[in-house]
Amino acid sequence: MRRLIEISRTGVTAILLHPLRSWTTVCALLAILVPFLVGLGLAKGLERDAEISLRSGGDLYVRGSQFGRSCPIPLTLVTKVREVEGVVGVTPRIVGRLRLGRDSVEAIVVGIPASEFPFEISCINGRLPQPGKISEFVVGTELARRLKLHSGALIPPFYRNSQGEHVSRISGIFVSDVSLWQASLMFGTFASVEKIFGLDGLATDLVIRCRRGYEENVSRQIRKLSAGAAGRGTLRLSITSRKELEVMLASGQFQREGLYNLHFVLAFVIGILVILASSGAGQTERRREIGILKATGWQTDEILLRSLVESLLLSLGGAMVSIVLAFIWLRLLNGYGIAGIFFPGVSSAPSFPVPFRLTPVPAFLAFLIAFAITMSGTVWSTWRTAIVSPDEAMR
Amino acid sequence: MIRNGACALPGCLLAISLCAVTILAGGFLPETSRDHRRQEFQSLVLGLGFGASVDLSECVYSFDPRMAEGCSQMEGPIPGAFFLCSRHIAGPARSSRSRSPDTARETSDHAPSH
Repeated sequence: MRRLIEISRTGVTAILLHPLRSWTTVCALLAILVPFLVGLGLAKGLERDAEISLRSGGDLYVRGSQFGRSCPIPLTLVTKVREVEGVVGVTPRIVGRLRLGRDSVEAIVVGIPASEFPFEISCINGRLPQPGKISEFVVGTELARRLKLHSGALIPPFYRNSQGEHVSRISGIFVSDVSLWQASLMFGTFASVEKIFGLDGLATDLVIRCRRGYEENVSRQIRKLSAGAAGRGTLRLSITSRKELEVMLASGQFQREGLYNLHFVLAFVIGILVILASSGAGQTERRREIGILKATGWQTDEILLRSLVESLLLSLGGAMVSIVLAFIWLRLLNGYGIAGIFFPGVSSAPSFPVPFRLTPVPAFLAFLIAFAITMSGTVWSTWRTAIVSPDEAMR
Repeated sequence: MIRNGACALPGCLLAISLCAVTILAGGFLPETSRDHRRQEFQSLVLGLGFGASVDLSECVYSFDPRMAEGCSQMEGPIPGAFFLCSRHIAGPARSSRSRSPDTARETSDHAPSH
């Protein structure tokens, strides 16, 4: 046992004996693992935000469809849906798209009936929009930054409807860390948003809360309401349930998993460089070193153990430093550069804290990748050299 | 010098490992006030946002699948990716396979999906 420890310690010496080789290996590992861990961290953070969105939302979401495309739902349907057995509450909601300002900044306009607003709220710097003569809105951080808006600011008329043009007021700005989806949001009362789009008595979707266990039955009953519900031709109702979204979340479809595949490809391409550095470029000195060890009485298995310890320490060090660097990139640099790739529509320096979560499984995976790459670079060449005679190895 | 380095290397490695473990453990700690604000926000907007997009400019489905039937840029299956929407990057689209069997069956004759 003592001898094994002694041999293992020579593995540490081997790292220090060839600093250039060791640094090259660690740097190449960092180049692979840091973006990989940052990507996984962002995906996990996004997944957690999606979970909260799912948990805090409704049980069923009803949309209208005509000619195979999404269309608004008449508010007359709300009463009919409320009568369905198992329905606890129905809230009409408008979610629309708008472009604001000279630069046509993208905004998502959301309207909820003022009666649904909570009394107190801490996710807004300012206050909730109040119903009144002037339409009030709470805006997201990215929108506020790009349009130079602040709490209390007045927005010149940006829409026209049958009642003419109106000035709007910013009643607050969302706190930046509440969600990445607040960035381009413009939130107001249902009536205010109705005015913007000039469509009275219509909602884009109905958010339904059901009694536990009644979701399937409610879905079935609502589908029966489909035909002729609108009074403007046949309106088909399309329903998305929480259960469906949970399936989607579990499969990781929306966390841009594909990007990891690209990272994997990148990882192995750069991994080849590690193999070259540790087996090809360092071949001469490794051969000479092994030759000397063999000449002084070392056995092949002892040389392999030494090489194994060297690889293990290099990959462990590389993985650990990668975790620290990934954390710095995500927390201190706020995902600078990579956030724009990961979250389409966000600038490379986001105006909100990017959601991230570094968990042990990706970290362990990173270590395994590092170990596999380093080992494949060292063990094969070490073994090939260790099985020949010392004079041939040193030649 | 190498002997000194051989003593210092495990120490450095241990220090870095402790940092890394602390970071990983931090991922499990609840961020009480932040999580409360997140839930408050989502309750206010009745559940909004699910995917990586932060606006509705290109792919509504990628922003929130509750708001669209599917991705409008679906081009059909291609090797290694289900569709060509840049907002998904090789991520699979909503398909009948990814939906719960009951709902997929029920909606199939209502609205055309991918």
